[in-house]
Amino acid sequence: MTVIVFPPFPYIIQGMSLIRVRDLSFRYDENTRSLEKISFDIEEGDYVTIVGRNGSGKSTLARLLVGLETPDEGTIEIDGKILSDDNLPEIRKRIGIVFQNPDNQFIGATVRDDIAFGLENRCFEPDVMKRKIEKYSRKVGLSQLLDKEPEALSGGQKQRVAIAGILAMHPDIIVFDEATSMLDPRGRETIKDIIDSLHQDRKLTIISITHDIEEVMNSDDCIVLYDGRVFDHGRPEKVFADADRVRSIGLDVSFIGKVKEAFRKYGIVLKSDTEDEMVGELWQYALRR
Amino acid sequence: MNRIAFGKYIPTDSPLHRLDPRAKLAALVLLVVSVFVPVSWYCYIPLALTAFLAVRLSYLKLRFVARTLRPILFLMLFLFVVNALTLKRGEVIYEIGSFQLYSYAISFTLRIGARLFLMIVFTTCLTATTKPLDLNLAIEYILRPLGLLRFPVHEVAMMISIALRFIPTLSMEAGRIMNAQKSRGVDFEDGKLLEKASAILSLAIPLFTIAFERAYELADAMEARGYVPGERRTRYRKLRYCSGDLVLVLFSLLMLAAMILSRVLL
Repeated sequence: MTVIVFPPFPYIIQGMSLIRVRDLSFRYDENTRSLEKISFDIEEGDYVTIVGRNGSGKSTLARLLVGLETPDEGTIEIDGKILSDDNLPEIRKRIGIVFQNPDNQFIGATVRDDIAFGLENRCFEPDVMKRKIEKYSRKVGLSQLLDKEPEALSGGQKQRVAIAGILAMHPDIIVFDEATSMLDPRGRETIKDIIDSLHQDRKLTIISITHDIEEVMNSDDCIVLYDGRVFDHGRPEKVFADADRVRSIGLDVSFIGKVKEAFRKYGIVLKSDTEDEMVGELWQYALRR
Repeated sequence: MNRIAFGKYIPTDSPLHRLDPRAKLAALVLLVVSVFVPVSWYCYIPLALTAFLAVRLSYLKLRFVARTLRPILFLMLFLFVVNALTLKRGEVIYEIGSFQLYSYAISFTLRIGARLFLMIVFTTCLTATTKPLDLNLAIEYILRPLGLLRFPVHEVAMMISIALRFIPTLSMEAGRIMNAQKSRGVDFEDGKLLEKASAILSLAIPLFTIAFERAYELADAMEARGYVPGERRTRYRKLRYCSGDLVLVLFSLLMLAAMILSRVLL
């Protein structure tokens, strides 16, 4: 009797992760090591943050994910297809990236032209482009600024233009490479709100590289890189539970972590990982006293 | 920076603003050629009238046009001195010691001055009424036949539009670096030529480094958004002819024909 292998079988045991990274290694030159045998999965519709201090390989990972660099070893699989030079144009349609510097990714002469840039590359007709530009600029609140030139825009507005330009191409995944780090607090909040709504309402998969601890706590999943390796991976409350461990790899301690630390000085050990739990635990403690 | 009037775009909604940049560029070329056809002085009257009309139709202030013309006054002065010393034809008008000023030196200088004047007025009417981006589109359109010779017309147009896009960004950057260097004691205004040169170097080197960094990041952003040089892509901005464009080009053609005819017949 012959065994018939049902085609989806391998996927069933491996699960259907949208992004699967396996043993990924990359170095820019002989002497520096950027990434060393990194493996992780990202599920469809998840909001994943990648943290780590400068030089830990975060941005390199982002560049590899969008195909700007080719891995030395290992594979990146997106929706079952291994990223290679042959399918790069196909995969690029599904994954967009917003970079850190708002100025250096503004290609067009005006907001309108910049949103059109990616659409032009995909050979859309002008009237289709016009409709898409109007639709997606409204989504990020730029309808009034369509004919503005980049010098007339704030950093946050330029990042919104970048987001609109990517949304117009209907991606499944958007990578944010420290997209809020060069913005003022107000610009940062707006961008974070937009990222949130892309995740909540449009069900996009978000990969955000960030130093912003608030954003990390808000995400579904957090990958900590340290010295080119995955140091930790899991729910942000768990990852940031141990203040000393977080500090040892050069990261900020979360609010909850700081509260726990402060209480521990007085000999009170709290177990909560989220703010709600912490409130409950503190009430219980206070009432017991 | 803002004091330079020549080549500056003035955002109004004049009849010339509404014309197709390709027609305006073609008209400019035709008119400038007509200006340089050697003709007798009264042939400059229709050209001057055309220039006046062009200024009125582009809603430019005469003061603005005058500002663009200021540099040629110095050029004229210099030309006049050279001509007065070298051109010895026509009648002697003025004599001082062994030096004689001939009438031809004056008429020749005036003629060159008139030509430069007309050329700059026409060019200003184009650049003040056409956005750099549209002008770039027009240049791309006119260069299109070169594509048959494997000349990368689209890529060159893309380069020009990116260069235009980054001029304000880099000039702001230059201002920032200049202030940073001033605060470290670099003196950009005074000093001997050599000292000034080294001061400029302290501006140029960081500016170049930053420009290259920007270029790399921009290239990444373009690649990530699916740009492949040489590959077919559509254009969002389309140029459209209207009847006014035809009138403009025909008028410029007639002007050139008239100038050539008057040269041949008179």
